Amino acid sequence: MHERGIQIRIWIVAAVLFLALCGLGVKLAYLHLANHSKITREYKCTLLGLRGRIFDCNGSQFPMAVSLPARQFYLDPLAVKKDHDKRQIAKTVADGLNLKESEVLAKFNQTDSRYIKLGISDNDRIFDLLGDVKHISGVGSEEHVIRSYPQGRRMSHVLGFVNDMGVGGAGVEQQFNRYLTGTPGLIESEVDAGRREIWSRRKTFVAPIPGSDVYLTLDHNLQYEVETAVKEVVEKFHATSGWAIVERIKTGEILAMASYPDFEPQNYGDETLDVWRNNALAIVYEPGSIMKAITVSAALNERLVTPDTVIDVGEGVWFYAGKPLRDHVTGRINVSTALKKSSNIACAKIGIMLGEKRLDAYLRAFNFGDKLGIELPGEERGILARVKDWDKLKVTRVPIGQGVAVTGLQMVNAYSALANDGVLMRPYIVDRIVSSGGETIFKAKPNILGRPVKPSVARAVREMLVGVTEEGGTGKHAQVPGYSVGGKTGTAQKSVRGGYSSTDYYASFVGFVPASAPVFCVLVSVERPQPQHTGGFVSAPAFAKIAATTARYLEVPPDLPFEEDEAEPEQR
Amino acid sequence: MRRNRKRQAHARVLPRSAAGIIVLFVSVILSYWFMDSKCAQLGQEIRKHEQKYAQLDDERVREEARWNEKKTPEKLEQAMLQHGIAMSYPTPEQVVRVDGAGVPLAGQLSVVRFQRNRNASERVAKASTR
Repeated sequence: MHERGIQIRIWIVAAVLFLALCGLGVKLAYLHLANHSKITREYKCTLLGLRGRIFDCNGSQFPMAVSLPARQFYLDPLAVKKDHDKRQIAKTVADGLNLKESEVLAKFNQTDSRYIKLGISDNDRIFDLLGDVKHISGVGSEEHVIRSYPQGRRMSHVLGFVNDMGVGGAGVEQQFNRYLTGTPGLIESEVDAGRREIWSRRKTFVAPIPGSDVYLTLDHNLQYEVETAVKEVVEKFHATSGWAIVERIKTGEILAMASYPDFEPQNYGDETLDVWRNNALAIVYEPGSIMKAITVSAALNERLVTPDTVIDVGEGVWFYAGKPLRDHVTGRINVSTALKKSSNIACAKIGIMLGEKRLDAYLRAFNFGDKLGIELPGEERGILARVKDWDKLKVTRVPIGQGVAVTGLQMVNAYSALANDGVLMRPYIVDRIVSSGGETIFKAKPNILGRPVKPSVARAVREMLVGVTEEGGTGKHAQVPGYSVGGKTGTAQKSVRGGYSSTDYYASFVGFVPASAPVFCVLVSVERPQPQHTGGFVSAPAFAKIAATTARYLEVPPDLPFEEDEAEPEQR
Repeated sequence: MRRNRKRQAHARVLPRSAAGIIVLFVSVILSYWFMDSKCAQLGQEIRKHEQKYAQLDDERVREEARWNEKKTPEKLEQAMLQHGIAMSYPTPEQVVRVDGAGVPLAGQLSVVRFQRNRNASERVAKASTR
């Protein structure tokens, strides 16, 4: 009996061992042969390809936009250890991620989800703080990339922003999205039981390729000065908005482009669509008197007038097609004075001399009514109706900047053409694009759009425009010590439904420095300035400030003696 | 006699050559196992270094961004103002351009003004000595 009992026990143990072995065998076969085993051991990881950077014209020393590796922190309320104090963890998280402690604590009680986003940080100290497993539990993190703009609001309208999906939503970020976007990398491998990658089983490794870098023609130092000047003028005159552009005359490079109010590209969601809009090229407005120089240049080119041609502007009111045109200038004046004093009637009469077709042709030759093709989204064409749609009055109103709408960019480019011996350049804002491997993919070259007027005509208009900023001219506040300035003031009533506003204006000044050998052209426009509203009073001083700084910054040699030098009495 | 016979039988079970093959086989396996584990260990170390490199590179990018934020014209201006320094770009009359030999180029405002001031002070000096 005893021996039999032992035998039974041996058989039972053997059977159990056999069954266990069978079980292990089945499991082994399942793990090795079933597809399931391959799927669970497979490891695929996408490596983030950082977005390319945006630099100003000074090169890689001054990035305007960069992508930063960061971490997205999330909360799993069910993973908080029992011996950890939720309140303490919430306080640490709130301090680290700049959140409200009460809001974070509320998320700890939200047990319906195991993945609650807390916030993003690019701070190594915060990584260490929230990664402290001894004191923190339930808080995890994953790789994330944030788009950072080191200069804050600087160039916001030019740079644009990147949305939550990592796609450029405005400005250069949108226009050059396909160049800036990086190519993600890939790792294909296998993992062990602890879900760790088995290094020796790695099958594929494709390194991520960062996006290409975009180099702008803008200079951040000039941009700062221009943005400051625009902000000051808008705030001083309680205006709705303002914009300014600085263009290098010979090439068409845009050196600065500012629009106010501005926004922080990193927190673009805090502002509305109106604020995102780059007013320098996306607002169309009636330019007013700054159009007169274009009219005069067309008439000179057609040899209809000379700077000395006398025009009778009467007593300040002139009727045409049954409608009165008022003027603050009276009597007989020459064309030069008409520009200097900004005579409406004289320019309207020049418009009649030109006729509808020629006037329209010259405006189109200066690229009004069409896009200039700058590498920024949202550029408007302006409004220039076809000649057949013009009413009888139009030929007297378009020459003085009414009944035609332009963008600031079109206007500064037209004046640059006058300052460039009649050569119209295509304005551009991107100098080059360089791949992450250092290869130049694109290099901008100055591009001539046309020659609307002869060089001699452009020079004659340039001389006349110098008179505008001299004593007796409408733009004397635009004077820059040491430099001759050619330019024109413009005050245009804002068009409202069915007519013009009697209270709201666009005040503009556009000019070039130095007038004797122009290097750069500047436009300043202010929308709805109060209480003063004239271009000569509102925009001309801002122009002078921008032009003076730009001339110094670009080291433009002065072409005039300084006022104090002239005033210095001879000591005899 | 029986004991001797047993010994002979035992010796026949594993011939020397077979033992040699087994030892060789085991040593090859052991060396392979050793090398494999060493490779795996080195692989892990490489992985760690790769991760460390990537982490340091990320830190560098973030530090650069912080530094770039600090050197914006606005921040520099604010920092200088805190120390009572207000700076602006030099006017043309404040700039002296010199040629390769160190001689100021002619016709510069700065030079004209300097010469004018010097002449004035010389005249004053002459007048006072008379």
